[in-house]
Amino acid sequence: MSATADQPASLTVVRRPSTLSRVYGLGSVFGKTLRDTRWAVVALTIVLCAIIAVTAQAYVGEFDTVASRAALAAQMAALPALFQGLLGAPIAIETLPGFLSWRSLGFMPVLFGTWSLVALSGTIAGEAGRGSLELLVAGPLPRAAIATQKFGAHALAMAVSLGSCAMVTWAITIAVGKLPGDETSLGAAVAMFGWIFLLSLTAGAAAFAAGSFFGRAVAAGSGAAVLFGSFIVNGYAQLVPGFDTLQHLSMFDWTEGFRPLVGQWDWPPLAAVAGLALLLAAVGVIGFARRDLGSTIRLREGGRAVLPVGLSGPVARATSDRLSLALAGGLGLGLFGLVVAASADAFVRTIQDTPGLQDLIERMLPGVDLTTAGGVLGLYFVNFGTLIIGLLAAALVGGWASDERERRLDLVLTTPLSRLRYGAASGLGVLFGLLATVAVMAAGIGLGALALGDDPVTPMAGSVILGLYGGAFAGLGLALGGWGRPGWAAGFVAALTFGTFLLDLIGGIVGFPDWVMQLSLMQHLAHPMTGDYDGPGIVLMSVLAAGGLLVGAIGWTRRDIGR
Amino acid sequence: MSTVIETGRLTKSYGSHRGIIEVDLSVQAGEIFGFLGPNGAGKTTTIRLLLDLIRPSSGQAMVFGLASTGHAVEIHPRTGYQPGEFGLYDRLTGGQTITYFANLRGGVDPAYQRSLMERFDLDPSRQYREYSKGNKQKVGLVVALQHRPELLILDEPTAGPDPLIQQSFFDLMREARGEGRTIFLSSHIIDEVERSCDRVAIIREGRLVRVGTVEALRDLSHHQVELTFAGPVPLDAFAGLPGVSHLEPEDHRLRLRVAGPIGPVVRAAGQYELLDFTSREPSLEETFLAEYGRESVDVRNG
Repeated sequence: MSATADQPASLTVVRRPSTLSRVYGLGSVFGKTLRDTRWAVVALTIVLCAIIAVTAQAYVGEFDTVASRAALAAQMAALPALFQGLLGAPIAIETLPGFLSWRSLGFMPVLFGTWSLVALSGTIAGEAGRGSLELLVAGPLPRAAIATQKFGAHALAMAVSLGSCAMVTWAITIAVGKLPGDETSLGAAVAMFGWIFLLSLTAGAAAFAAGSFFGRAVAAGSGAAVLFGSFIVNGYAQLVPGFDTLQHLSMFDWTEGFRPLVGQWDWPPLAAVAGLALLLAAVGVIGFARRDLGSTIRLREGGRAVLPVGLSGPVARATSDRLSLALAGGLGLGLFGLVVAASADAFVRTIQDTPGLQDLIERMLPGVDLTTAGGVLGLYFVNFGTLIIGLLAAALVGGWASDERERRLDLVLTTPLSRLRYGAASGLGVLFGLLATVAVMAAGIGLGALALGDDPVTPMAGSVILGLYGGAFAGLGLALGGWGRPGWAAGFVAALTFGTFLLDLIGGIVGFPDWVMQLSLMQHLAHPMTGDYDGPGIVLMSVLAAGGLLVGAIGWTRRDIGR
Repeated sequence: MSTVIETGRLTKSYGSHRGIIEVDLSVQAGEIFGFLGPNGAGKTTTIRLLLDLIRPSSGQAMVFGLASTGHAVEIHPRTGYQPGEFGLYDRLTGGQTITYFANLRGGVDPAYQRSLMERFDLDPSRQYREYSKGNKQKVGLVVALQHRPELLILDEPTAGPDPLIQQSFFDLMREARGEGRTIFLSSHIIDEVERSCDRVAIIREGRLVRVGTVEALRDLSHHQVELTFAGPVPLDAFAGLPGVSHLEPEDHRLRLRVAGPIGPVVRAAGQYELLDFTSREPSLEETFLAEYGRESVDVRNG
C-alpha cells in the first residue's frame, strides 16, 4: 500500500524556516539566542551612547579653549603613574577623542565584560536549569553546533551593540567637537570599540569554557576572575608589590598600546587577545560536546559542608542560601584590601622619593593621612570596592529573587509563614549575607594593616560603611522586587551600581552640576577608611537598606506570587 | 457536614489572558473532591486563589469559613499543599528540606514524618537536585502531609511517582478521609479521579461546567445504546423521544445516545422485534469529553 501516492504533493513538503528567522528569530539556536538578548543589546547600547554623549558634551562645554585643555592635560600628566591607577595613562586628553578614550571607554570592557560573562556562563547552564537543554540536544543538531551558535549569537549581539556605539561616538565627535583634533574617523572609532569587544568577549569566553565543565557559579567566577583580576592587576601594578609581575598576564596590559582614538595602533596584542577568546570558546564547545549532559564537576561541596544549612526558620534559610556567595565575595574583597593595605609602605616610600608629591596629595585630599593603611585604602580600594560590593549586592538580590522564580515560594508561603514575615526574613538574608561579606573583607583589611604595624580598627570600621553602601543598593532592589517583579531587582541593582560608579568617574572631572553629583551615593561616603564619616550619608544608606527591606516586605503582601 | 471550601463567583484575570470566571464551588468536610480539567483550564489558578498565592479579580474564596485573602496565616496551618510544579532547595537534602518545612509549620510528629518517608520509599539523604522527578514529587507529598492537615490541596500529585507509590498515595488519601480530613485533588487524569473521589467538578476554559458525584456525573450524561432490529429500522419511533440524539441507522442497526432516563427508549424498543439491545454506561472520560463538546452547560452543584 502506498500511503503517499494519493496525497497532494503539498502535504509532504516540510516548511523550512526563513533565512531571517534563522538569523534572528525562532528558526535556529543562533536566531533564538540573538532574539533573547535583544533587550540587553538595546539597554546597554543606550546606556553607553548616553555616557559618551554626556561626557563629550560636558568636556567640550567645560574645556572650550586650547589653553584650558592644555592645563587639564598638564595637570593629569603631572600625576605620577601611581595615581593614574585604573584609568591608565592620560594620552592626548586635550582632544575630545583622547578624553573619551581615557575617561569613558577605558572602563567599558568591565561593563561589557560583566554582561558577557553573565550571559555566557548561563547560556548552557541556564538552559539546563530550565530543562530545555535535553530537548534541544535530543534534536538533530550536534552539540558542538548548539554551543557554537549560542556563543556566536552572543558575540554578534555584543558586536551590534558596540558597533552602534562606535557610530555614535564618531558622529558625536563631529557634532560637538570645537577644537582641532576633536573629530575622529569612523575607522578609529570602530577599532576602539573592537578593543572593548575583544576584551569583554574574552572574559565571557573564559566563563563559557569553565561552564562546560563546572556549574554556572564557577563559570561566572572564572569569567569574573579573568575580567576583574586582569583590570585590577594592571591598574594597581604601580602600587602593589608583585602586581608589576602579574601585570604581564593582564589583557589590559597587553593591549595598552592600542588606543585608536588617539592614533595608537598596536595590532599584534589585539590579535593575541582575539586568539585567546577563540581558544577559550573552542574549549567551551568541545567540553560541552564531550561531557555527559547535566553532569558538572563540583568544586565547593567540601567548603559548603561546613556552612550551616539554616533549617530553623526563614531568616536562617535565606541567610544560608546567600552565605556561600557572600563569603566568596568577601574573600575576594578581603584579599584585594589586604594587598592594598599591605602596600602602604611602598606607597609611602614612593611619596617620599617623589619631589612635590606630598604637597600635591595634601591639596587633593586635605586632612587624609596617606602614610597609613587606611589612607592608602581610601585612595585605592574604596572606589573599586564600592563597584564590587554593589555587584555582589546585585548577585545576592538575584539569589533572593530565585525563591519566586524557581517556585519555592509556592510551598513556603502555604505554611503558616505570613508574606510580610517572609519578605522581611528573605530580605534580611540578603543583608546578613552582605554582613558576612563585610566581616571577611574587614578581616583581610585588618590583617593588611596589622602587617604594617598600623591601626587595624579604623579601616575595618570603614569597611562597614562599604557594606552599608551595598546594603543601600540591595534595599532598593528588595523594594523593587517586593512591589514589582523580583526578576527585575538584580538588574536594577547592577544598573544602579554601574551608573553610580560611572557618574562619579566622569562627573567629577567634567564638572557635572552639584545636584547631579549628589545623586551618587559615593559622594556620601566621605573617607571611611581613615575614620572620616559622613553622618547624613550613613543615615541615608541605613534608611535605604532598612527602608527598602521594609517597603519590599510590605510589597509582598499586596501582590500575586509567581506572576 | 461543614463546608471547608466555598467560592462565590471567584474570578481571576491576568490582563488580557483568561484565568477563571465566576467559579462557584463548595467542598464539604471529609470528602475527596476531584477537580478535573484539561491543561490550562484554570485548575491551578483556582488552587492558588484558595491559598492566597494570588488575589481574585472579583468574587471570593472561603476556606474554613475564612476569606483566603487576608486570613492566609490562619488557613495555612490547617492546610497541606503540593503544587503541580515546584522547586525546592537544590543544595539541601530531601531530609533537610522536609525538616525545614516541619520547622516552619511546627508541631510535626517525627515518627509520622519518618513513616511517610518509608511509605513513599524516599531516601532522605540525597540532595534535592539529584532526585528524579518522581522523588521530587515524593518530597513534596511528605511536605504536604507531614503535619496531618485538615485540608489537603494536591495539584496533579501523581504526575511523577511510579504506580506502587501512587497506590501508597491513594491509600493515604483514603486513610485521611477516614480520619475526617478533606482532600481537594486536581487532576487531568480521569481514571485517578474516578477511583478516588467522592465528588468531581469539571472546569473548562476557566468556567465550571459541572459539579456532582462521580456516579451522578455519569448518570447526568448519556448512555450509548445500540439496537438491532429484525426488520427495517423504525427511525421515527425514536427520533422524538426525550433525551435521544445522535441517531445513526445502518442496515438493521440503530445507534443512539440517550441523555437522562433510558426508560422511554426501552419502552419504544419493546414495540418492535429486536435481535439485540446493548446499552453501555459511559466512562467518566466519555462524560468529560461529552461535556467539552457542548456549547453551553449549566453549572449545577450536586
